[in-house]
Amino acid sequence: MQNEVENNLAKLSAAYDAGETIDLDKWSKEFPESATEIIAYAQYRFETSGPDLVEEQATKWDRMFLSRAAAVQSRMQSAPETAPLDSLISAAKRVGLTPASLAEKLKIGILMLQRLERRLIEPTGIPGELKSAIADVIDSTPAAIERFLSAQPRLAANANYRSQTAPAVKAQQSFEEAITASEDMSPEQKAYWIEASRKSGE
Amino acid sequence: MKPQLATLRQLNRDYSREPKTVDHVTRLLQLEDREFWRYVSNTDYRDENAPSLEAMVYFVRHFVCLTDNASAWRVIEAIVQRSTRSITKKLYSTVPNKDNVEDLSDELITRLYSEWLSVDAKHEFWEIRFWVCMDKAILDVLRRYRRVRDAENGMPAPTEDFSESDQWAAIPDKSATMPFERAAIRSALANLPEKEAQVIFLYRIEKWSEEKIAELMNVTTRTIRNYLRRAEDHLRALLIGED
Repeated sequence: MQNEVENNLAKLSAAYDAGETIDLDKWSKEFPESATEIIAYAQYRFETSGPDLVEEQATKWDRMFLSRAAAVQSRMQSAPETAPLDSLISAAKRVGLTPASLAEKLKIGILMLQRLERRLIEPTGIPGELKSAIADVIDSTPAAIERFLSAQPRLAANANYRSQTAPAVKAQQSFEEAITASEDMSPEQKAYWIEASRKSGE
Repeated sequence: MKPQLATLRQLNRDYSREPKTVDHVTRLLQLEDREFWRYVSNTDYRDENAPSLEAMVYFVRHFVCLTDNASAWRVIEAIVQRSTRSITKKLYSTVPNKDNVEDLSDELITRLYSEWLSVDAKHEFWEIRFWVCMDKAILDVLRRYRRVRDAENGMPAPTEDFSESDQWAAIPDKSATMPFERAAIRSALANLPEKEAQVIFLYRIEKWSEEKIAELMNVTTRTIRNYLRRAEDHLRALLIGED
């Protein structure tokens, strides 16, 4: 999905750069799965097509941006190399949050949190916004969250199996399916995360 | 240290690496350390001889694979120096409240660094079309900012309960959009709530019919007219304010 969006945006970008007349209706019909992104991109191109800033103003903004870039770099470089994250819920406990309060801060249901904890959701469909939010709340990094969510699914911690064959976890669900099936989330929360998932294309 | 073994594997995309990028990577790999860093550190964004930004991201990711983070950061610093002017222009044009530009810059930079330093295949398009990825990253940050702003401003979705006479008169003929109006709309779009901005863009700039916009947004034409009416009110207020 993300590949599709990127490929289609690359085609549209090349058409703009070549000075072609863009018929958005035609483009959105040709690539219906990327129509929302195509239109948002066209609007963004229009918004950013104004005249250049005057040099003095541009230099001021460049300085600000470079200063922020240096600060972010410094923060990321000084972040300690932490041990791999092995549980979202344990990490939340370390910062004084119960599973319920973690779910509340993330604006998801506790059932969804449990699915994330057990990695029962396809990691590529989880919006970057949710990964960043988890990292913020449990004082981790988006990269660490990404590594955690991309690992193998696991069994419930308190499961008690007596079978002679090794237990297997269920197949992973898509993010949208999991959100839709979460009975403890409000329609607004579901709509928000489904939209975020579609928009991020991740 | 520069990478000693690098492969330019073919990526599974509609697009492949630009020949210029392949050439830059190949050439840089043949250089001695000092020469390599001299080329990579060329931060003049107007210099056509500088390595392509796609090639630079390639080296960031390659250094990460070699666990040479210091070199990866050194290349990142050069990428930022080269691309800052274009990024700030885009941010400045699309964020009306300049007080927010710093926060948005932080959010954008964190995302850029995370993606460049990630060896995850889903971020490899940076090595193929740098500016497409950059535009997408800026757009994502911007849309998130606008959604939060609209929620904080309590922007209710338009309903269909305006009286007929109220709503029809305020919508101008879309065919009458003059060049100076395009410029005014361009500078005002960033101030409008997200959905109003989209509707006014499609109607006044792209000349879509109300029916077509309604179909895209999955609402009725009446709702679109209400968006238009409100957007025009906002536009008028903004334009009067600017005078």
